[in-house]
Amino acid sequence: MAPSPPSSRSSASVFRHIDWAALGAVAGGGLIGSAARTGVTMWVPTPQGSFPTAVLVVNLTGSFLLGLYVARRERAITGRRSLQFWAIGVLGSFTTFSAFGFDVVRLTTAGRLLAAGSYVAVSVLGGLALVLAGSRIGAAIK
Amino acid sequence: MDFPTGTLIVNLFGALGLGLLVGAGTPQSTLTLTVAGFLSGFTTFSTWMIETIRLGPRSLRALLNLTLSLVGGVAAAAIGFTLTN
Repeated sequence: MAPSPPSSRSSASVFRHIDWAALGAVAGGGLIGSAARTGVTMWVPTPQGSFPTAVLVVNLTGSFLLGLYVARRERAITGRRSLQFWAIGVLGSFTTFSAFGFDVVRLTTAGRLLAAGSYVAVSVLGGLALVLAGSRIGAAIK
Repeated sequence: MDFPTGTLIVNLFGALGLGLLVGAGTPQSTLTLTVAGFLSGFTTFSTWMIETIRLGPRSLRALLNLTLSLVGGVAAAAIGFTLTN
């Protein structure tokens, strides 16, 4: 990206520093990821106040797919744009940390401490394990 | 790898935002669904996971990334909820 002259301090110069193509790639992927996540949450039945299965599903699936993608990418010649779109955009948006965090608060305040604890454990340990699993599988595929 | 502060920041702010939104108890309008959906898309669980892995096995920074996000995220959601509830 061409650097702007050091004398320009106007707000307009800020926008010249934004990588619009990258932003577009992430946003485009994000749209798909969010739509997919919404689809899953509608498909996985989660009655009010119950165990947040839908969020768990998207977070674990997304973690696995990200491990898989990054491992595959290291074998193929894919550019930054592809990473921005698929890894940050689609999968980054498909998974959700805010819903996860709030679910923990919800379960805890409802007195469901065992549910809250197991939700955290399965999400985090499962997520880490699945990133590694996806990574191993991705590296193993020709 | 640099410490993933960017992810931490978006996740903490997103969790705070969702806490504020749900705490306010606004009815399930299109606006609340949009904002909730935005916050869910804004935050990311998968990136947090892979960045933790990439900080290295048995590394203090990986543990830090894990605990800061987890404790910070839940705290942020709780604070947000308490503020508007």
